[in-house]
Amino acid sequence: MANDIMTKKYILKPGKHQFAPGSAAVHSNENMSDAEAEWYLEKYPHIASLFAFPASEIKKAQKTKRVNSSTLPSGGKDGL
Amino acid sequence: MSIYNKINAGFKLGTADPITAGIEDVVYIFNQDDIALTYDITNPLIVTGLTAVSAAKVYKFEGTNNSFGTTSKLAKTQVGPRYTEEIDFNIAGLSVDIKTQLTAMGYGRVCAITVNNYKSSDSAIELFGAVNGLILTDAERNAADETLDGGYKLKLTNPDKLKEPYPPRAVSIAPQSGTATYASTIAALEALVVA
Repeated sequence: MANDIMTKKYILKPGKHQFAPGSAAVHSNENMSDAEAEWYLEKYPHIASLFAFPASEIKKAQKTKRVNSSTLPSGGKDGL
Repeated sequence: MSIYNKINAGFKLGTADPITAGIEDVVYIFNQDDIALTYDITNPLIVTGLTAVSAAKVYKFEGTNNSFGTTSKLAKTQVGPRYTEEIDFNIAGLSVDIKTQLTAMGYGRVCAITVNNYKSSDSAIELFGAVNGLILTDAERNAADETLDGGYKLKLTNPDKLKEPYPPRAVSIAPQSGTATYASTIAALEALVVA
């Protein structure tokens, strides 16, 4: 499965998602192909925020994060 | 497949974080059709995300003096345990707009999120009506009532013949980076609230 995610264009954020409110929460990376993702994105535009960056862009984002990481506030535990 | 009918942990009483009663005098209500939920990948008791459809919003109803409350109760059925849910709250006002909202809650289904006074747990913020929604079943205004001073006494419960398959879900939404906390969940919720 890990290999699939590496080659996938559309990657969902962790969790089981509802695409339509009230439906069963069944959509996850385990069962979502790129073709399906494109179809759902077209029909339900609001789900765009449920997707993480495509794999290729994640690498770019990680590179820029490392550069900026010294200026970012550290993690969630401080929130409490 | 998880083993759903075997307990796998106990409970140890401690003095560090004793449980406290009550909920905060605020209830976040949204139309069931307006918000898509994301659940934890392994645990359906945890809601990890709320996604608004188009420009849908969450509406915040505020009260005072510890007058809001929630109840969830197991209801035994022939096909396993189900849960009934109730949210008691009030509106200290009287206007056409309030009446309009109450009418809408009586016809349509809503979901509601409450914040427990007991914060030292991963279930401080809870979602009611996750599967079947809630409807307004009591909306009483006694103009001469001194307890509420003529405000509305309200109750949201499961629609007729419907119950929830699980107890109220814990809402736990992570920030952009890092783990989910009470603060990050409240921030995510407030971001959806109508200004």
